[in-house]
Amino acid sequence: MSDDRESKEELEAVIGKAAFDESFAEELVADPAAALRTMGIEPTDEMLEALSAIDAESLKRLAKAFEPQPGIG
Amino acid sequence: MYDEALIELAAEADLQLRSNLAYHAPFLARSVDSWLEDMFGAASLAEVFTRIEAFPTLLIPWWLDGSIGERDRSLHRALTYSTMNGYLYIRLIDNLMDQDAPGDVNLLPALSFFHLEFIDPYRRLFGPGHRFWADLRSVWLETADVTLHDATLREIDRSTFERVSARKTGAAKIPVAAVCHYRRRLHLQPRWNDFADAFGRWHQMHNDIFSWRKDAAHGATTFLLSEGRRQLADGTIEDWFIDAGFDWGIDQLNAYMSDLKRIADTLEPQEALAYLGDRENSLTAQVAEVETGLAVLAGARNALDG
Repeated sequence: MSDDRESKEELEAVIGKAAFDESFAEELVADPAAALRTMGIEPTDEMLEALSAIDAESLKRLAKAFEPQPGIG
Repeated sequence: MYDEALIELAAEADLQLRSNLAYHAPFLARSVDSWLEDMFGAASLAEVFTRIEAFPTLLIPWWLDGSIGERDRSLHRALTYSTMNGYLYIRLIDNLMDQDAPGDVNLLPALSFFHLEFIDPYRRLFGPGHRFWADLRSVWLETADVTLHDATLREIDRSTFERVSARKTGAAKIPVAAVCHYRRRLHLQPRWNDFADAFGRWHQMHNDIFSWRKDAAHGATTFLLSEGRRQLADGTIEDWFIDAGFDWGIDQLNAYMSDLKRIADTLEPQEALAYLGDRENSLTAQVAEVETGLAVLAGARNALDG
């Protein structure tokens, strides 16, 4: 697998995780490089640039919508 | 959405539950308090029961009684206290069966308190041999039966969803029976039972959609995840949910809402219909937020595929 393809797949995994994991999405908004490292990914400038183009706040709200809500159900 | 009078009764029931438990079983009370805090944080039981996303288990008998005449506050005080205890009885069992929710086996003795306090208000309203008890037995045992049945399922289709999963909230029909018997309006019972059952389908589908991530992570079987596995050609369940699953779930939810509105339209007064309008508006806002996020997600994936 080429490095390019590998980093695309890693980024897809990062975005997928952020979409459904609110605390990770928050980490990604606050400190993208640190969030990538929690997934075992060493951030590159290209990765950080690609992530900066994403509306991370919307991803965060998406993740929040699927967080378990305390209450009767 | 909730009348002040009903919110007050819920607050009274919350206080009564905690003080009865502390008086009769102080050691147990401390464990139950911790369990409630784990589940609901600082929110009171009254707040939890009257949140917009809560099953309208207090509202259904409230609306029904309002359709008969002036509401009987002492009746609703009894129903609210019973319902809160009945809910906690079911919730504790559910949590222990799920094994991924607050609660452990050391809390099992609390079931004695919850069950006693669930039944006691009805014992005061209806004498031995009253026909209400046959309704309670039938509904309560059906709820227990479908709860176990649902937990054993490894695949859920629409028919199983409607016969089993969506009937786990069937105990909401017990206070309906109580109002109908107490007010001697048994002819109203089938329509209000239909409403409670239809709401159970909508509510369970809503849970399937918005708890899908937790369900998938814990290997739970739901109608939505079963449909995902049926439709999935390749890729992951996450891919299916993003590409098609969310829309599929919302379509089911809208169809169940149409059924509900048809039933609510036949109920007087039309408080139930107004409530459904509020739930629909709340869902519309929720869906818009999710759709924005899913569009961002799809855009990011397309950009990476370049």
